[in-house]
Amino acid sequence: VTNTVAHEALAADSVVRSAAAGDEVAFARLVAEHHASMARVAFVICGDREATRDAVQTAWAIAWRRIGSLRDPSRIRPWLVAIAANEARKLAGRARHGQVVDISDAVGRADAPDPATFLDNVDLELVLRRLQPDERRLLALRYEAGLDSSEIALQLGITASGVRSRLARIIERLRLDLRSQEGAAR
Amino acid sequence: MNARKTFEAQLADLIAGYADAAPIDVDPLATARFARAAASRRKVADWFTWVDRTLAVGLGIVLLMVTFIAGATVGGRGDAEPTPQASNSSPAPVPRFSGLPPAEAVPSSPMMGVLVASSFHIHPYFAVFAYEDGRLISSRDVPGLRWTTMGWREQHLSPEGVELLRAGAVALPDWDELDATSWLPSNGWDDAHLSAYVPARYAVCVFYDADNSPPPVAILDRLSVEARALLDNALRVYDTPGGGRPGPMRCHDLTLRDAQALDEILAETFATSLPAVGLAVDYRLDDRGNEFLTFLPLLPHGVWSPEGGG
Repeated sequence: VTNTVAHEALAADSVVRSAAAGDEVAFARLVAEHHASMARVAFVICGDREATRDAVQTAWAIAWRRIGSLRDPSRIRPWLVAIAANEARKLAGRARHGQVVDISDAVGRADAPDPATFLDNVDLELVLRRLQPDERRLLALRYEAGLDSSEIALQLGITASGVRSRLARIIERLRLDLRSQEGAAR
Repeated sequence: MNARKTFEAQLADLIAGYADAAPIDVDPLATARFARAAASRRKVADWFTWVDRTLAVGLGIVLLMVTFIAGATVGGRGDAEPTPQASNSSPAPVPRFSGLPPAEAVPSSPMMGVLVASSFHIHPYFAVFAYEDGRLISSRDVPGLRWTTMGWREQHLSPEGVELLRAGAVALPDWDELDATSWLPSNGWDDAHLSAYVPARYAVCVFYDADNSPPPVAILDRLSVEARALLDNALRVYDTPGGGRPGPMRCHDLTLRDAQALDEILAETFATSLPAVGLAVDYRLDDRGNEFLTFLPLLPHGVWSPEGGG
């Protein structure tokens, strides 16, 4: 098992280095492996499918240019999702003033999906929209991408303790917000 | 605490469910081709949004470290290797060297310089800096070779040439004009001959992992007394973000002579890392690969990258 893991790590390392050398096929392998993670993170930040596509496409272009600066190939995933998160944050920052989320129609629709799931999603959508793009980026990197505070700190250029304290504040606000909605719904 | 953990778990589930609506369909090869084409099209202005700056500096560092190439008149202490032939016809191949300039190399003078004009482009890569004292220092990539540059070269402008640039009467050359002299009137040149730029100063930087490494002072304690004495002799010491590397860094600006002496000492004790990409000097200080000591050639205005640093 150890040999297999080591072999896979070496293979992944080789793909990253080939991509950095301009190998389109190697880069395509990275796209195949990491695109979904990047899109999911970007979507949590943007909340919009078209904006997510734009953010991730831009992120890949940036990744192509900068992959040679990635010192540790084993960090390719956090590096890529952080680029996508940054691009999504930019787009969300531009769009947020014009965006209004209205849940009243959807809640009352007869053809709405399973009420429990639907309500959860609507609540989260509403609550996420109330956060700043920077805050959604932190949430996405932590809870969707699963990065720990040290990795987020590395990718965003801030301290790990700063990441932890910001996340703690965001979570507390979310907890209160979601609970208050839950209470209002009952 | 337990309640918070439970809430965090619920939150993670909610976010994961929400993210299921993300558009994840993709054609990998088409995306790779798009990325490559987009990278070629992007202009400098698009590169340097504030979010990009840190990584761009990192790329600049890579470009510099990958490509410290002495000109034909300067031999490196390390191995010389011929530059691979470019796919285009010009310019002529130049010898490549790794390591710091040899002991007999004469550093560029004066040690500091006041910038009069500069120009920089990522792809194709070129950077050119004009100084009040007449130095014109430039680098560019070898046509067809990604991230392989000609190294820093030095030419000399006449006072008239400096004034033409300062007044904006003449613009610095573009990538394809950089090796020509015709972009400037003949009286603008004092010496148009391209020779190797020998940095008078190096930034010797400790890269480390902010969360998992000991503080820089403790990392430097691994060096010998002689090595630390050279660092203590730094012209200045400063902290700066990692610039594309995994961690912040503490830098010491050393004169070329002190940098060469330090390099000699370190070479006996530590392994250089990533020699395959041709870093000038990059010593690994720990087993995990989190901590490095890197020598970055400084330009006369005190930066190691066209986009800053230092």
